Amino acid sequence: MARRETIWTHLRWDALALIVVVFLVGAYHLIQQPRLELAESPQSSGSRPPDRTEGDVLLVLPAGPAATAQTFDALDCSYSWFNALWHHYGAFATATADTLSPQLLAGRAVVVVPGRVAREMPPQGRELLEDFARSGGQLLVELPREGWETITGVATGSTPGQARQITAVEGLRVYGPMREHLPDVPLSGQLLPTADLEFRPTGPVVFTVEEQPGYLIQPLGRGHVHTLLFDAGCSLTAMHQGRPTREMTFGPPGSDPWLPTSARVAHERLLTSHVPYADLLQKALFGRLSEHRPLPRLWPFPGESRGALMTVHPAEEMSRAALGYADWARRAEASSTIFAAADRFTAHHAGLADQVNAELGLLWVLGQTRPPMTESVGVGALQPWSRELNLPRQQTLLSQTVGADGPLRLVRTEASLFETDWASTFRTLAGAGLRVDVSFGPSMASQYGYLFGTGMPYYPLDERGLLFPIIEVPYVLDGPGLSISRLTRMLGNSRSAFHQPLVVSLPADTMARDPAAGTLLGFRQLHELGREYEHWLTTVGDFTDFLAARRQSVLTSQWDPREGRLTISVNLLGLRLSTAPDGAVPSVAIPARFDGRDIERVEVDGESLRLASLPTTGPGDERLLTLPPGRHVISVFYEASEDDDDGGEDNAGDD
Amino acid sequence: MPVPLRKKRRSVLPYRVALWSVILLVLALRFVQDNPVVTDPRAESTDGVEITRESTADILVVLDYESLRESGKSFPTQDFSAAWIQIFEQELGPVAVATPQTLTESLLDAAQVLVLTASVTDSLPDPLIERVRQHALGGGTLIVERPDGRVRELFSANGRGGVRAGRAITHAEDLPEEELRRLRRMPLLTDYVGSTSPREEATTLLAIDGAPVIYSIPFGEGRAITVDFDLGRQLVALRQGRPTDDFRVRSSSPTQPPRTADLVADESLLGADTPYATLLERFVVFGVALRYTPVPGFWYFPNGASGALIFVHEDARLGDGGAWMLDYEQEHGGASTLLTTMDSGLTSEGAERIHNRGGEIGLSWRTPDPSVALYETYGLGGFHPFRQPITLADQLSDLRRTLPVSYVRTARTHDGIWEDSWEGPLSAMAGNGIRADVSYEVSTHRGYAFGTGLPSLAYGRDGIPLGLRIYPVVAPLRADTGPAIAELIEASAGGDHQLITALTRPAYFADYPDMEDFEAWLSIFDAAAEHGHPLMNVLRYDAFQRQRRAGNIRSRFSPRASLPSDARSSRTAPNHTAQQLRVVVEARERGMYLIVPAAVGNAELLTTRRGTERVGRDVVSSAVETEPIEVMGHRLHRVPLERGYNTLEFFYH
Repeated sequence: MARRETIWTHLRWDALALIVVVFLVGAYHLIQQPRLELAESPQSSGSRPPDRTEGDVLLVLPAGPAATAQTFDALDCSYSWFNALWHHYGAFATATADTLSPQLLAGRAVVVVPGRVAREMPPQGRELLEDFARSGGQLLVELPREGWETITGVATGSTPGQARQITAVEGLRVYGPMREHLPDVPLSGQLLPTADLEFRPTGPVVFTVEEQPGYLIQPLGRGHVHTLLFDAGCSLTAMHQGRPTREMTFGPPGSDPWLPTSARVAHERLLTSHVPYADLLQKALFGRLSEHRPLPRLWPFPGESRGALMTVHPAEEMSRAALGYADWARRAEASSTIFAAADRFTAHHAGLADQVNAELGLLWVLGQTRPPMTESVGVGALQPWSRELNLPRQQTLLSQTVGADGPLRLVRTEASLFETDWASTFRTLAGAGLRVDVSFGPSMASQYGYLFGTGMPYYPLDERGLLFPIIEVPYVLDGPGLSISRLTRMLGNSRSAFHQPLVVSLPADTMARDPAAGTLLGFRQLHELGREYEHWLTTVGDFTDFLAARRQSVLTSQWDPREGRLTISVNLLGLRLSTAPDGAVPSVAIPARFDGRDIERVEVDGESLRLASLPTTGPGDERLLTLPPGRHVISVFYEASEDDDDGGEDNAGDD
Repeated sequence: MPVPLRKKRRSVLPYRVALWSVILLVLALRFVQDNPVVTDPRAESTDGVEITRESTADILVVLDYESLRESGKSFPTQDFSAAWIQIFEQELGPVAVATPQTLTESLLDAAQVLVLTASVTDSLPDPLIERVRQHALGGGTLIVERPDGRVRELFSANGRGGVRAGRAITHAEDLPEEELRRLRRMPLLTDYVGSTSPREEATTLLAIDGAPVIYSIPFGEGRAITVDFDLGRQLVALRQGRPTDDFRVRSSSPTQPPRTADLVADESLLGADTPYATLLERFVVFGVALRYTPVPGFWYFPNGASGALIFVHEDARLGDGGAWMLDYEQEHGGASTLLTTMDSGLTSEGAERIHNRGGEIGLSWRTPDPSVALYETYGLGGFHPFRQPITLADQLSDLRRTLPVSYVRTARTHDGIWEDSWEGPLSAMAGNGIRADVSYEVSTHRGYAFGTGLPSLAYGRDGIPLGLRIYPVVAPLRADTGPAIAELIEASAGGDHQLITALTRPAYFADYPDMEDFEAWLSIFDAAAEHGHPLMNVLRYDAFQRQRRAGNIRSRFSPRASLPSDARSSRTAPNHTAQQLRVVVEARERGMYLIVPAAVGNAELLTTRRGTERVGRDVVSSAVETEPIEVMGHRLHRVPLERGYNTLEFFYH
């Protein structure tokens, strides 16, 4: 049967041509609007930092990682003590609980036992620690439960409560900012119930939490036991990394997958805080250790600096503006850090950055507030797909552009956004080999200050309680939130009380997004004010390098109560940095008084020092001794005691 | 049955043609939808405004608008007699303006100084010439500009030397040497009329290239002054720019559209530290017109300030953030002007905030030039194959919808981009209700490139005023040559008494936060505070000027009057008489000051009385302290006024 012919039979070639036309139009549209393939970046998890054996203070860490926490209450915050001791002392020893031995404890002044370690400590370990305390050492135990009663002298209930705030500080016996602000420190984690006890000096209580004893000091033999019935480690962790609102996630249900880091803060009070509450809590605890034996430490800044001041300029798109700000810093004889997006920062920009002495870091483009960074995929001119560049690719691209010798180590996330879960973003940053992140801080003009409880860098914890090999350096002022009055207040507080590194973030697009004269006026005055308030004008890279050298330095001491003599042995490591061309060496901070007695004289390597030449810290509780790098022996003689009593109840010098 | 192939093909062809035609049509329509055809912008212009002010005043300017229109179709021949209005308004405030048709006896009687502009001096009817002659004979001052015929015969030299191009001013009578030196440097852009012999008893007041161009002769009790050069053209060319003869503006760059910088009349004006137009204008008023007849006027700035500073911010991208500089200025006691494009992103909330804090919002007009234009598409239904630059009227309507007020008074062409027409953008702005233009700027130079810092009336190519004033930018923030802003402010306080308009773009600091620019901006506040220059916006200063022009001043000069008893001394003995200037003045707002000459002939101002009125048989008045002040070499006294009517007597001895 013959096939019936229609008009379409005769137009078949036309139809074919039409298909070709449609195909070409489609291809054109694909080229114009290529499909985007989202990137995935490799991730890494936390780990245990290498142990150090030297130091007056020994931190006992868990022998193994905890199970992955599904809720914040289940998080092991032992390593938060690592951050705290790093901040305060700089040099300290660490060991795992299973390696505890009399040899390890010999010569220590203080042993710190975090909550999980205390909970899992076998009886033999407790006996060792009891012996250590009885022989004159100081033992700081967090959340001691069954088995610790004989050591701490405190019996605790089996049903823990929730710690939220410090309610009374009568036993602290200090005045000034510490007494004023300590009750405002937001606490997190468990609180072990116990019977009511008296405040010092009649009782052992230093301060109460939720109207019940929270911190107690009891004598044990020739030593003392400091008992924390609240979770100080998790309180610090919550302040540093944020308090999850749900099961280890931030923000309300249905939140965007990326939230500004300011959405993590542990308490809304922290959103406008002139007080570094985490550091305040640390100092409230560690300050008591020096009441029974003067404990020297490595000052967290070089020389006689009262703090440090750093500026960073994240440049998501406007690299040129960032260079403009960096040039302001150069003219003020300072340096700043530019976080550059790999697709917006050219070799020419890199040359200019070099001319203005700017340090460079990576701005990790997420494609959330600006177009994602992509590469085309296809054949020849036909590139119908585009692939988002993952973090390592962005890092490599920027390294190639700037001609960096090694991989870039500083990073800032786009618009300070982090994933809403506990640690995915840290995992990605660490996985890319980045070592310093500066994404935690205010994100609105109304926010300022220590949103994360401190200006000091810290190592974030993963869900198993281990530390990521990346340092978070929080910033305290951001773009439109920068003003002369805020800056002056923060620098003034830092010089007189808190001694903080202050990072000021001035995004390159500030004057395009939220322009304000106050921002430029503040930035114009910034470096001058920094000098006026005796802060070290440095960069984030230089400051973290300095802190690494401080951690590598060694400080040990012996205390002779009969002679009132403190003998300190130090091996100081210094660094020659672009912002400290003469070298950045940590000073030695010595308690200015002990048991109500002032320092009588100081000898360094056998030579007497003029006491008046030693500057005093802001609160007046420490004297700073600046030394060249290398080994030194320092002898500090305190005035003779009129009353040879055990004393130690009168030291109100902390603040 | 088999179908022949040929027949088959013929029958398919129409379908094939139809199919591909439809496809091509769809593609073509889609193409023009995506790439609309640009059509010419709609023309926006206005006829000028024939200004007449028939209320009586001490100064009367007579001009003929028909004569202006017929005077010529090229810039060199165009009669700018209307510039006389601006001269007196700028220097004194109120002025009466009449045409030969509206000139009345009462206007003539009230006038102390009568100006017959070039537009009327060759066409005045004989009876009017006789009336004018009587006015001069009776003691008035008569000024005739480039007269002809009978008027020249009566009042001026013969003019037989013909029209000559002037090169430089060589003499200005009684002008201090320093100011004369400055005046000599002024580029001359005008012609003068030479005479073969001087008029008998003539005193030369101004000379160009050695030839008298302003001279006076005694005429009965009064004076007749001849202005024998084209003063209007000189001032208009300086202030509004000099176009080609056919009123075109040539761009200095072959690839760029013309800018207002291309209007600058002479290269020597770039970076000029002298406001030449003002210098000449003040000489004509205080050194010529008021030389024989003291006439009072209003001081230039509110609250007796020695000058004023206007900040204008132009923004096209920051939206509400464009006000960041304005916020700071407001914190320092000023309220400046933000000129914003319709696509800048300014919101109603942002506009209200600016307005509530005293700021002014105007338009940065995206002109039809492709480099800055905004387009709207049009067509049928959803099919829009054409696009056209959005008109000024539509841009203003859009801005008005954003503002909390229903008016926009200040505008500027975006980025100072001009048209090839000399007056085109000004005419369009005037036609859309704009009262102040801030387009005139040389972005690379600070200084008086347009001869003045004070606002100037704009004119159309027919010489008729456009009802809009040009506020020239004296201090573009990123200019790198010319006198520093602080120097300009200092010179203003020292005698130039100028309005310093500074132009910034808030987005400068978004792209590159230049520290030097920021410091320069901050230093302006210090200089302004140090030299008593208040910070204000265009709208505020324009409103002050309106009140100044609308104010009422009536004066009467008596050569012999008894001095008040407490002003008598051995110096005034034995008759204790003096020349008296009695002034009744209405100040329309607070903070206005009256100015009078410090001397009349050889007589210096001796004493001033306020509130002179007769109570029974006594004359009640109180002595008033006046403040001597120098204005570009001219000595004046000024006295603060109360709002409303003030009566003052000035005694010269």
